[in-house]
Amino acid sequence: MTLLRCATIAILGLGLAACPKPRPDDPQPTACEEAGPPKATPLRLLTRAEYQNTVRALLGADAPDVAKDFPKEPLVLGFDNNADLNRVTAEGATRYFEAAETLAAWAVAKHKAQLVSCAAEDLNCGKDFIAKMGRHIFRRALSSDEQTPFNTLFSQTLSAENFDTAVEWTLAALLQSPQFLYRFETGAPSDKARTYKLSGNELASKLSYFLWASGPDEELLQAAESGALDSPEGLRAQAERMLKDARAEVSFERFFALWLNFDLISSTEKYATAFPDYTPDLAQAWRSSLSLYIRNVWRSARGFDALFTSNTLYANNQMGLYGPAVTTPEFQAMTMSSQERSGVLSQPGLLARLSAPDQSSPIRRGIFVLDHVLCQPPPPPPGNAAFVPPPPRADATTRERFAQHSSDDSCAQCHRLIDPVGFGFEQYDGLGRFRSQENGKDVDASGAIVTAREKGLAGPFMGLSELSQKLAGSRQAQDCMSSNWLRFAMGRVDSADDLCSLQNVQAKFAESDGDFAGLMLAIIESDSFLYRAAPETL
Amino acid sequence: MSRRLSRRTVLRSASGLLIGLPFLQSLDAKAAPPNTKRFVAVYHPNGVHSSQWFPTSNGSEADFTLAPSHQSLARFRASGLWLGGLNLQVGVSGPGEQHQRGLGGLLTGAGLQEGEFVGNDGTRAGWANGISVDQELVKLLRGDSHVASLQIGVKTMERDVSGVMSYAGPAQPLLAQNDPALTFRSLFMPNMGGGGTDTPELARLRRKRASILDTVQEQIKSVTKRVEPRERLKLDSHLTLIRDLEKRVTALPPGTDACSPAEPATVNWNAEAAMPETTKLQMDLLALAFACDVTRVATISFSDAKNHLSLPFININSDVHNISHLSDADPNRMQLAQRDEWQARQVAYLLEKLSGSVMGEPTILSQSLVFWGSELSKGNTHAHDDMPFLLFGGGTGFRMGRYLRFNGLPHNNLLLSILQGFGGNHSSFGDAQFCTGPLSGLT
Repeated sequence: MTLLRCATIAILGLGLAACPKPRPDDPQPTACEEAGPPKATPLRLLTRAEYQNTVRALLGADAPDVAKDFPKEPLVLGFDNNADLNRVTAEGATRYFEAAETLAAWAVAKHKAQLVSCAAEDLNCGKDFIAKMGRHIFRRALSSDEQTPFNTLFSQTLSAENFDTAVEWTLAALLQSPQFLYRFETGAPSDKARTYKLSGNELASKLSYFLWASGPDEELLQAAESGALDSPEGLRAQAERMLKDARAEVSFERFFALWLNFDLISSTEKYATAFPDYTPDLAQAWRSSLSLYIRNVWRSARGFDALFTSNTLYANNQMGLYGPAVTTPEFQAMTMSSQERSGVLSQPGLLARLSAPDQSSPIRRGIFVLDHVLCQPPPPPPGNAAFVPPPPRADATTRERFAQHSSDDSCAQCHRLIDPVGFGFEQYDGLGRFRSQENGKDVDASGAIVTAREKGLAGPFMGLSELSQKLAGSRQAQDCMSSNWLRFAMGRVDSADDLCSLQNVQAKFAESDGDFAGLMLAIIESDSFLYRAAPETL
Repeated sequence: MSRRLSRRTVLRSASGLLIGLPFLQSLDAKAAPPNTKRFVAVYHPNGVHSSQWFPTSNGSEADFTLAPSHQSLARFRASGLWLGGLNLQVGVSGPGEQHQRGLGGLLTGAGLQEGEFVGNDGTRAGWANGISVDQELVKLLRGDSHVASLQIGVKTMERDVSGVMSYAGPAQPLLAQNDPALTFRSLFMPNMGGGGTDTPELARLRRKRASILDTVQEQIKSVTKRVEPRERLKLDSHLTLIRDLEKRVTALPPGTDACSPAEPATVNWNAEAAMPETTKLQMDLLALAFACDVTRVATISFSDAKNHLSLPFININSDVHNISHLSDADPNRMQLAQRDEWQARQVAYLLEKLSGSVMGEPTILSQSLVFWGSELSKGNTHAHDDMPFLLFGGGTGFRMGRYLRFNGLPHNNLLLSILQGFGGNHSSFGDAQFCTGPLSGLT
């Protein structure tokens, strides 16, 4: 049978030239002092996750899940919070409107006492509600100019309808106001040239959406209003407090939900012919299991090391095929042999996502490690390479079938970097089940990192557990994690202007021995978080 | 007097039998003003099996034999224009890879910006650098319709340049909505309830919505004054959207029950196996929205350029994207023709739904233009020459029932012709270097 795979390149005359072309990489290390001010992100529309967390904090933890129907955000390098791209669309405006109507009616019916508490239900009580509730919804005190239209709405509704209705309609208007839907990072002139510093209120929001994926609480608002956030000590004190709060786990998980693409994990499908054990419920269990794993990493003192080497597997009754005999739909933490499960890369859901529908995929797994974990993306394949994986055969291992990559010159250019990493995952099939044999033959899980920026990282390894150990101790992998976190915090892609901040953050994460809270503190204290380029003048 | 269907009947039967003419006849004629024009663009990914797709010419433009993939379109032959020999020239070079550039340029005629989206081959690109023709047409066609345009998808999963065909402007992507329940809400909710008569309850609802949305508008205006110039555009557009929304949600109820349909049946739109049912629900809602003049412009994307779908409902149990990479000589490539044939049937279904008419009025199809295309001509070469493009309907006055071949002209010319056909006074569209003037011979 004819296997084309990479072979079509020659026909198209692109030849080998396309393969080794590096694609844009992290900012090149030049003198970071030459960098300009960090780029601005003046308006940041709340993401679906941020919106939902925020309304639950404002109105009650049992608030209906309205944001699930909002338009999906475009993803940039995996993240959904890009400040430039997230804009209100016609569909979005409609969903915000529906959500505000729903939430306002629900809140007045269920939690009126939380919203208003006055002896007399009159206009003054309404004004008080607008000032107090508005301050939490806008994440800062309302100016009197801002209060006026709400007071008018309240007063007119009170006359035409009644008090509860006035509260409801006013709340619906507050929840569609731009001061709620957007976070502002306007800033004001600072002592640095062409550079603005964010205000206390703006920092409070930036801090809380970064650390909690939700709005500021009362204490943080007060810290902003008192000016405490303007000093490094005050800022650090609040950040440290917030990192100890349970809400920090939510944001931590949010980062990994994007970095590992949980949405793709739960929508992964497999061919019944190849994997009769696959069910859509299993795909949901993969996601839940991975989410619990990530939360456990947050609670662990070992941080980065735990991420890559923990041998915990969260299993429920859907996940018997991975060994643990759990009979309930509730997940239980199981301690596995570290040969079988070692770190996030060995989690079933991720392995299943980084597989083909009918087989494992050394390519997808290899690329994930190089690109996502090491920030060292392999060179792109030739523009017209045909990506047809060799079909499964009953008489060969995956490794044997993929041998053409290393025998065909044009493919080998790139695949000599990718395949050796991916072959190290061969002890896991397309569902992420551990296997020592494939088609009756022993699995060869020897692998290698062929080149790396970090000295000493390149070299052979045996199986995923050894690879994970290597990565857990790798400065390059830590640096890569730092740059991803910085992007997530900034809501934009980093540029050369962020180089000083990035290098500082990377150094502090390494010094802290991979402590994620330390990483987040370092980001919060970086110039890229606190400052922005001055607005362009007209 | 025509028979009136209840709202329930309309959507229930829509998910069962094919109902074109009878259903639309039941709508009251007041829905759309006479001569209302509409535009739909349909996209499917990864090119086609060319030899099974392009008609065989028998000597003249009007004398051609339909290819196997298009047999289901035979009954719409007289309203179809088969195009060959057009190049998606803007997709040939620039940032990104061929899938990204092809989809980004398909309706915009523009190249991609530099950016961070990783393409199928690892190169990077940003969004398309221009407005898409459907959004340009909104300006010409919208009239009083409530919803400016609709972007619907059938398992369009990519949330980047590989999954978006509609652009409100440079790097302003409009992502497709895959869930028919949300399409329904975008089009028919929140409405004022059915019945066609005003009541005190409806008057109160109008008052409520107007007062809330007026307050929101005041807030947007006050914030706009305080932000820097480059961010004002975002807030200006937000304000326009709120004004539109207010107009829509405070409008008097539509005149017929059929234009206040019940929510469609739920469907697991995330599953490959549910694609046929999802397609049907999405297209039913679109046709109803056209008939009721809720909107006049739409795009429908079938998955995305980076997809790895199998199509179990037509017995294709392996990755169609991979199949599209197989050589012309490979017998397994015939599965791509099978996929193309399925796509053609979906387009035929849409045409069928648009072929109804209100009593005494021309059909919707005769006043619409349906564009159908892909981002590549062939997946195995990732090429952009001889693109598989088709047009249906009488909205632009093109002479249909023909197979026209062009000698490598850029497809921007086609986009320009479409705009001019709808009455636009454009002299160029998209990247000007790839727009050499309208196509000749269309009218």
